[in-house]
Amino acid sequence: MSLTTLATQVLNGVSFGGLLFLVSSGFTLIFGLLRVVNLAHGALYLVGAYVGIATYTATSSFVLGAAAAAGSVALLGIGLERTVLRRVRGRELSEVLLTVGVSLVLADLCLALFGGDPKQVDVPSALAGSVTLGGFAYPRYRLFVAALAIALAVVLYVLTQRTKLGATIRAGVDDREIANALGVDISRVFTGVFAFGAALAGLAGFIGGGMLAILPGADVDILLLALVVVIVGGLGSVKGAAIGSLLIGLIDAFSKAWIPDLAYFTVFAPMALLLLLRPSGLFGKAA
Amino acid sequence: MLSVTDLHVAYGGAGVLRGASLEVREGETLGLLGRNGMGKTTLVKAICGLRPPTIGSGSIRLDGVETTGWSSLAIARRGVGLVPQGRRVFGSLTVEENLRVVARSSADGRLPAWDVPAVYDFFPRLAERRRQASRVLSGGEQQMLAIGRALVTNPHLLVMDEPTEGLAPAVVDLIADRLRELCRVGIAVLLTEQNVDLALEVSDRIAVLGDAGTVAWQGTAAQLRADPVPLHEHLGV
Repeated sequence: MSLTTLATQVLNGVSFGGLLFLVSSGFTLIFGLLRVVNLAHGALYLVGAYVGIATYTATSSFVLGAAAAAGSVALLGIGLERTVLRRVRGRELSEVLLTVGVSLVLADLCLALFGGDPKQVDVPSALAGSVTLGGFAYPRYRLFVAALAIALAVVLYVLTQRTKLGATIRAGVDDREIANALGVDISRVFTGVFAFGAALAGLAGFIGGGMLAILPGADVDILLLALVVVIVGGLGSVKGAAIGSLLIGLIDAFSKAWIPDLAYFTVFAPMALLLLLRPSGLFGKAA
Repeated sequence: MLSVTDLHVAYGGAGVLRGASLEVREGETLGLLGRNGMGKTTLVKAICGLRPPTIGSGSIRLDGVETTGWSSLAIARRGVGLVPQGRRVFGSLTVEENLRVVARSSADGRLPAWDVPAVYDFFPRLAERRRQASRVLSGGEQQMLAIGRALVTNPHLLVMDEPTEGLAPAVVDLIADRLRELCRVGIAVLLTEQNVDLALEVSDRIAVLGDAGTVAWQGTAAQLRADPVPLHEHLGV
């Protein structure tokens, strides 16, 4: 393998890992606070992609498309949390099954509204084309996705570790009963975090549409990878989601280049191995 | 301030409180004594709106407002500051964050206002530890933090559930000293204690929970010091 191919595969892995981080960070944030494994997260990704593409097509503004994707799915998340999930809070099986049901409904609604043909985001000219890096060309958009993920990681770190809001969220994770009994409205924090996590999924759908095809089934594919990421990184840990995304992105890129027939095996085998050795993931807290 | 009238609370089917009544007056410290299992923590939980106790009947009033069955959030915002049993500090937060996330000002101007620097003055040890994660603090330091955390919510009534449980004697002395100081500034306190000497020392009045799930004896701490018979009778000390 030449140095150029190696560098290309590394960048493929990093940029795909970046997209995975956009999806899995929201997933893991929601789990960390609400203890809900939101299996509708993939469907939120798909809704965001379709809404974003429709807005982008109508307005020719990429930024508006991204804003519509994140905003609409945030609202959807608020509705979901306040009307559906709140009724079964604390009943794990009901919560998980409800999110599965919601994801099926959303996926079917998408099929009815937006059809079954694959769609893509035609990236704006500022992000299109390729950049020449030390003698080889690499798609500019993929670098943009990687940069966006890094920026998000920094924002999330500062938000959770350096702000009062972040401390409040962590207090809710530590002991929500006592936080409530000291006058902190944890249920409002819950809704806010759910909306934020959902917005990230919606944004990821639209951004991902510039790299991957958006079509029925894309929700399940991305959900599966996000699950692998958070299982590897440790459920509830944003740091784990970042490392896990990078790891799975790289594994995916190299295995597709070297042994494409085993693409799924190479992603799931390390996860299975890790589950045997460290059941709570790289950065997860033991239950 | 706080009045509990004829409170019945069942816990997992069994009645723990069967008609308990007590009162905490403005600016006083009420020591709540009783053997383990007599329902001290159950009473505290009922007052603060924590589950699981289910209130069967009776009434809890704060400043004359009926708060029976309110959520713990609403009760906290009504001016009750809880120092829970077992301390329960937010372990992944630093000392300073523990205080900042709950700090809020009080509408009531009668009591001295508590903010984060005031808590550091009150417990200088916490100021030294302000940047440390609270899970690595010693038990005594965590207890100071739990008290400070309740104070920065600027409560009218401070509810402390066994604040000296499991602490070394030297630390108990320090906490006792701070409790006396709190009594002096005039905040109303409901204090449950296993440590009878400490409760007698810092409380204005004492209520003793007895076997029947009611308050078996109520009076001033001075009375009880002069004539400790009710202590022998209900606590076996």
